[in-house]
Amino acid sequence: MKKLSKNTLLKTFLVLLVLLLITKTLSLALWWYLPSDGVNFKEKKNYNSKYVRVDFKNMISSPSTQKVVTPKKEILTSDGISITNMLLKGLYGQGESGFAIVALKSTVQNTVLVSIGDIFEGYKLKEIRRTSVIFTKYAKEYVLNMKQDVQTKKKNINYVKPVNTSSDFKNVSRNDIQLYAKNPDKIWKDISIVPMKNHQGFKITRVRRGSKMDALGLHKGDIMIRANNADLKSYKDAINLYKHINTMDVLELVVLRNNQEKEFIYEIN
Amino acid sequence: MVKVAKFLGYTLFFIIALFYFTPKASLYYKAELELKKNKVILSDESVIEKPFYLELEHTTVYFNAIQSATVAWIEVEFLGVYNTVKVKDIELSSVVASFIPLHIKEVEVKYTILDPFHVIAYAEGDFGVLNANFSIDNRVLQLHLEASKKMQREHRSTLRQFHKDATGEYNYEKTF
Repeated sequence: MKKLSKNTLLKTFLVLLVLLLITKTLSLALWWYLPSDGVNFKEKKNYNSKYVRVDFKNMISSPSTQKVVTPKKEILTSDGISITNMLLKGLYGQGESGFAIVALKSTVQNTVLVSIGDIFEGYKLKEIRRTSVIFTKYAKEYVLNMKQDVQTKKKNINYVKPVNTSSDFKNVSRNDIQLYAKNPDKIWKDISIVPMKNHQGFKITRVRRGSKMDALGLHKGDIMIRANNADLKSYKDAINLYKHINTMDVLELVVLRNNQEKEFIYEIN
Repeated sequence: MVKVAKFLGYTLFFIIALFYFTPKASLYYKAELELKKNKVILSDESVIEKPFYLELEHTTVYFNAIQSATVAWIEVEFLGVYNTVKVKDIELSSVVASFIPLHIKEVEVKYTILDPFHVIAYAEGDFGVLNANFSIDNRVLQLHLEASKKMQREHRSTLRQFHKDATGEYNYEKTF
């Protein structure tokens, strides 16, 4: 027994074993203290629906039930329905001629054709725009914008507001868009923008006179707040737009000018 | 003398065992949390823990919630006295296409205790070859770029940020 205890090999082995135990204990303590999962990027969804142009002929031939409203006044009047509960599913015409296809969110499939001057749920259709219609009720005007689907309930209220908007239609060359998309430094020669401190869009601080940006109708001081129904709240939103602009046919840009919303529609040809 | 040798031997064994048992993936997750505070997120990666280093595969890098790059392979070796980060096949986001060619073949960042006041980096890609030196004590970053023909042809605006020396190579210096 004595011989065994004096064996240097055994001693060395015991010391190494103790050292191993100490290191393992330390690593376990570290493992217990440190996080067990990493960070993964979670994209915050923009719940606004994308801008969509509706082919009216396709809507007519769709199987959903549609009631055609005869041109009598006050057929569907009801003071109990809020315009926020209405959906604009299609429209035809512009200005004071044409009609809109609307539905209540509770009965999305039951669409109703409303002509200018007709009243739906207490709201009188006054005007048709490219992507929205204007209803009036008790001398107030309301804009109902086109929706792609009914899943984005929370943000619907963004689309309905007293009228302060005006629209501007312009044609834009696809070549110009591609040039800007490939050479973003050219953009910054023509225009400067800064993000708003409250994360509500990007303010235009400079537009070079005679430039293509100038021709788009943008002014110094405008605040770009929405593009194709997606809010512009961060650089991420802006870059998202920049990345997809090459594939767009239409760009709808909403800016705040003198505290009033102004809508620009750019047809990209 | 034998006692000193034994002591050094045991110390070396202790250090090696400590590195072997260190939970490297957990340390990496902790580093990820610190990077997140600076709006940098490494996402979707496969973390492979090896005895003395850590491998990350197919990492997507987000800065400010914007997808900035994808990285095929990263190796992090942290041994205290000799530390390296090796990165291969970085594909930058198209957002920066006008500033720099998008493919970076490899990057290696090295810090050793033999040169405790400097972090050295080497990068090679479609832009050319870049050598970087960060001086920790006086906080100066020096870049030395051998620009590729593609870089010289298509990204002259970026090269204007550098100072071209007599040999035709590009230098950049910034103090933090």
